[in-house]
Amino acid sequence: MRRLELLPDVTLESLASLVAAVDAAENVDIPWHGQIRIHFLRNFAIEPVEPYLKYYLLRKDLEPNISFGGYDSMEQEILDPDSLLNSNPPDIIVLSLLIECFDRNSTVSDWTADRALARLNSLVNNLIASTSSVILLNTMLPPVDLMLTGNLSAHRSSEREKINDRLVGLTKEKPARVVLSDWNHHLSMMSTVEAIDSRFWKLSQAPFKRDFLNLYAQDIAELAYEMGTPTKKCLILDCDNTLWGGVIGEDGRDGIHLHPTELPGKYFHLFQQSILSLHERGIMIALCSKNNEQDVWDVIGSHPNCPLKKDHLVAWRINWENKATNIASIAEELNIGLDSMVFVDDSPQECALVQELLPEVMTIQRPANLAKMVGVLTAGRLFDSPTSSNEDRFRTQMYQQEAQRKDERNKFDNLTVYLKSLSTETTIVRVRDEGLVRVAQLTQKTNQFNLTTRRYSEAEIRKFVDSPDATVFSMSVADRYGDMGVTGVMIARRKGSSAVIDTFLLSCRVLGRQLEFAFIDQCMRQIENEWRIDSWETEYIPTRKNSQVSDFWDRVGFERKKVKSETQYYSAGKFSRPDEYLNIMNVHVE
Amino acid sequence: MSQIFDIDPSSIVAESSPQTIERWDSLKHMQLIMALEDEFGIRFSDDDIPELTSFKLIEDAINASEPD
Repeated sequence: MRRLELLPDVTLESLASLVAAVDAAENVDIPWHGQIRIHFLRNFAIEPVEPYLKYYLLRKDLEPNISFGGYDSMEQEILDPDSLLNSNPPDIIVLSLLIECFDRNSTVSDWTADRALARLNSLVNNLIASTSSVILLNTMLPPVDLMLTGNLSAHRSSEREKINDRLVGLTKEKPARVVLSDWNHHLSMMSTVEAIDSRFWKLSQAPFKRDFLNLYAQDIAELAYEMGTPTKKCLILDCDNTLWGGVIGEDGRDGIHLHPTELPGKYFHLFQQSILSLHERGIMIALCSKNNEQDVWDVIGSHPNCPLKKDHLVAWRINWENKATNIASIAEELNIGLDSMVFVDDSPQECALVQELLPEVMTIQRPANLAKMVGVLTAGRLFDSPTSSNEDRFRTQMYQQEAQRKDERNKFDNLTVYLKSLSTETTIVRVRDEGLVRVAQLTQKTNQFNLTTRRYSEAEIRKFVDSPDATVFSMSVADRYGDMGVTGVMIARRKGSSAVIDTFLLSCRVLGRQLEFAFIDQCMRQIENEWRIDSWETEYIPTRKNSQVSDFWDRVGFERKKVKSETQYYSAGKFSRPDEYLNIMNVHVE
Repeated sequence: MSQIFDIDPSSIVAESSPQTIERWDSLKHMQLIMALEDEFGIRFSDDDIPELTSFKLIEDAINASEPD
């Protein structure tokens, strides 16, 4: 059975059957032809493409290793030495971007593309310089909301085209490193409602439907196919009618065809020379022939017109045994994987046998037309090593090693410089009527940076707001790329001369920028002043999603008092907190 | 539900919800809705989708709806 059989076309038609089939194909006990590691850097929810992508990869027996980076934190991920991107370098980086999240002014009527262009150039060049992955970019679509309302303008379209033109330019400048997925073309293949689901766009910032995701997945998979097939290291050759015309055991040394100029011997001579050029490139050459050993050595090493010599060979199995067993034995002797071997034989029966018993080996039947035989080993990029056909990537690997030798402090400095360049403005506001709805919504939706994960309705937030013994703060963030609106919530209750932090959360879009420290610090100062309290209490309630904040209170300066039923309880007195965050942002408190 | 959340169908009960099924997060919720729409040929509205937070609620909604 083959994986392909577990994934017929029809499984694409229903999501449940796709998810189930992909799951089965991933876990079935069939050998892989290779592995492909793909990491998405993105500013919206593109996770729904995963089952479609896996479908195409699995059909080619490529083991998928797929991960998704944080929301809208592409630059930080590149700079952070501990990010998933850097600690587990991918073969392919898929940069999935929507223009409205990349430049929040792109929905405005007089938007110009220069900001976004500069950011994109910098981002892509950064990726090229600091990774050795191939980068897949997408052309920019119009903002989704505007597509849904049909509110497209010629001016914005032409600005957007500047970005897309630049993307095409990048693929021409760096063909080995940058590849483009034409989303505009994909979109043109269907109506807007077929491509975009307005409900999921609103609810989860995941706009794309099946037909669009399917096309995108195909683009990514095609790139993976090119890259995922492991380099072949060893060529195993049959002898009779492959290295020479005729059968040595029957025709004898003078009866076989092998000659530099006469036909048909010339084709076999040329074929042997192409084998020698592979040998020169470091490919291992081996023989697997059903013959008496001595007959073979009568040609190799003894025949005047035989370019191939015993010295060129790393192993041979010349006997009357089953070829699959022999090939497996060679693999073991050389200590290489079956999937790095290529086997060439003229006999359809031998090829079928090896293909059936050793599917990981690439079996090539020698073409019947001798003239075609010569090119069979060099066509396609069968024996290309990743570096020899990609000068750029090789140079980049050197650069990357160089960069890794620089000390950590350098990377931190770069991060600070980057964060400063964002020109972050953060506004911390005591919530009254305005913003109440958004605050409630954030308590319901935020999972990762959420210390206590308490879900509140509007009515419940209003109760906090109206109570003299409770207070609600919200944080809004804007930077050079636009306004992100309310992205943080803090709720505190008075308890005698203490204040209890009931809720503290941040939207994942604003992580990695020290905003959490700015927010907690400013809120605590405000409350200490107003309520004249002298101590604090709070908790960290672990969930499956919020493990990244398990040490947040410790880092802010709280003392862990006890742990009960997995909840960590903290307290702190009045104290001054560090405010280095002021170096990289402006804070307003209202 | 068993396929989207990768769990044993026998473990799903009327009260099964995001609180009781670990994998049921907002993205999986979206996949679940899409899968249900495929399966039953129906379409939930914007307002319905966030409310479908238990097996029972989903069952009721499907029974109440008409096919596309």
